[in-house]
Amino acid sequence: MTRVLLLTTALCLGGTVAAQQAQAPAFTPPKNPAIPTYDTGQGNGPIPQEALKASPRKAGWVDVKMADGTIIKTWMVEPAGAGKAGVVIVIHEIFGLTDWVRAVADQVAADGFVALAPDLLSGMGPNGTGSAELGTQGATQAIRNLTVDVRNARLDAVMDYGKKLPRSNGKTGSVGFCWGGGTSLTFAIGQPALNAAVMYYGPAPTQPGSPTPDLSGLASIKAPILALYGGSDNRVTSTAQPIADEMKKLGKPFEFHVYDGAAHGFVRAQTTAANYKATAESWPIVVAFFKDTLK
Amino acid sequence: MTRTVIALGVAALVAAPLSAQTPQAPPSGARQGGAPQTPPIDVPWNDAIPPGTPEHATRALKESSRHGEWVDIKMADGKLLNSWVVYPERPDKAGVVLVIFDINGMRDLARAMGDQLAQDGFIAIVPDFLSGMGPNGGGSESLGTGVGQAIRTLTDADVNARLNAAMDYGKKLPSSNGKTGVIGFCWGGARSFAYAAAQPNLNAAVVYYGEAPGSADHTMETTLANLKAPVLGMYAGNDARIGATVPETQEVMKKLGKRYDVHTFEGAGHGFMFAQAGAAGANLKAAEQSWPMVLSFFRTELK
Repeated sequence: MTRVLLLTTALCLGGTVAAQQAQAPAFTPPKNPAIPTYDTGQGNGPIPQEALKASPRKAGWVDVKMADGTIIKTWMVEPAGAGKAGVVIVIHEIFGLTDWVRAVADQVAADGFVALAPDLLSGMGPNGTGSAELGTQGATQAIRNLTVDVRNARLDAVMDYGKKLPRSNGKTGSVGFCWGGGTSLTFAIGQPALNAAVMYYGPAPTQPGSPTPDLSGLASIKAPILALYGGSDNRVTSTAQPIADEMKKLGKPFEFHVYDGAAHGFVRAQTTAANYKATAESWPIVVAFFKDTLK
Repeated sequence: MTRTVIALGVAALVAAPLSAQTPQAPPSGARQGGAPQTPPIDVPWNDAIPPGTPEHATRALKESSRHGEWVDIKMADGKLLNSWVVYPERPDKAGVVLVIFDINGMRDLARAMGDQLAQDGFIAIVPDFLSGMGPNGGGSESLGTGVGQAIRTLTDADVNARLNAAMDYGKKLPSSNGKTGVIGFCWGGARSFAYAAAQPNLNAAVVYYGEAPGSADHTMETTLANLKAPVLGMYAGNDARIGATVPETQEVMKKLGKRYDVHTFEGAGHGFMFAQAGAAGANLKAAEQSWPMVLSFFRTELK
């Protein structure tokens, strides 16, 4: 017993020492106020936290209530001024609603839109909590329980909330990243009143547990779709052309861009030159797309 | 204090062969049964090889830039196989490697092995072979200390059915190149060998300190007759239980005309990959030396 304790202590100490020797990222992106900030980890690091602190915009948590009483904790950021604006729903990654996702919402507001970043894992953490309490690894586990139907019901409620905001001009778009990118597309499939959907490296829709894309839902899309892919993300990017072909056949607008050398999650992980470049090049396209579709 | 640790370490050495025969899930932070008990060394952080301590595994998963996700893979009988799937960051299609965990079931060390394989360019699927066997339909996590016991109830047919589902899933992924390899450790090492014997469409099998099917009753000429995939075997020098089966396995594989590359790492103990702090540095050395061979094997066989 004593031996085990001694060994365990020694192992823990070894782990702590090693953990302190964290490697500096190979590339530090320049300060660029025109694009979302980044993180060196899975989204809850000091860089997005500082960006949130430094934001001059009005922001805070709001409770979006669903018909069944479920509360979707949502981070809302307002653009400058007092005029009406389009509402953009920011859909988080597989890691849940992180500080980085809230910082992306801040950038969306900086670009002139009302941003709503819902915690789609609301109520799914321990004791009815959400993403923050699950942590990024716990979120990865819990997110499996969010079927497309559950996601869409939650996003419908957020959209409804946004439309009723005094500053809303009545138009709604969605932008999602990674898991949220796929969710942005499936939301466009399920919600005919959505005005625009942006998908950052989102996988093509599949039936639960199936490895193969199921593009049959694309037929019901009403919103124009903009998709941004990393060249080094074959898992997702290999599905871009099949979606484009199907959308063309259906006569629906689908625009996509592939950024050479960029990896999955490049907007968060701007710690390589290719990922930064992909972010700097794609974000203005996203902003122009929303300015056009949500005016 | 140092003296106390050494003295107890010697006592543990004497007890080691016994624990090797009845491996049990160790308390978190301790090394696996079977490895000679010497004071743990300080394992340096090295992302070129799979994490070999529980702390490094947890850290690797937290810091990974790759896309990992939990998927419920549908099996032929309709049951779900909960699996951790990690993707490489690359522009082209990739081979798929199925990871078979050790007697400790699904834990961060097993998932981090998948993450390492993805870092090295492969799509990794790490199935929880205990999916649905825990309370309320849970898997490894819900079984707690009962993991080892539950694993021992799995037959080769059970394991192969799960691996077939994972292989099928992997082959159908849009980013898969259609090739499939398998890698297993300890209990999983033996299952990796058995799967190679049972699945003629498998392209490569890596066996970390696991015995061949039929080695216990000397029926390998039959059990290995249909094996198609080349097998790479990594063994610990200080692991007589498994090591004793290797020469006969080599003989039979040679006789059957099958490729079987064997490497034995002197001084290393059973379970060295996930116990890199053990055996006074020999386990770490074995991990460092074996991993590049695994990669070049998979890169050749799964391209």
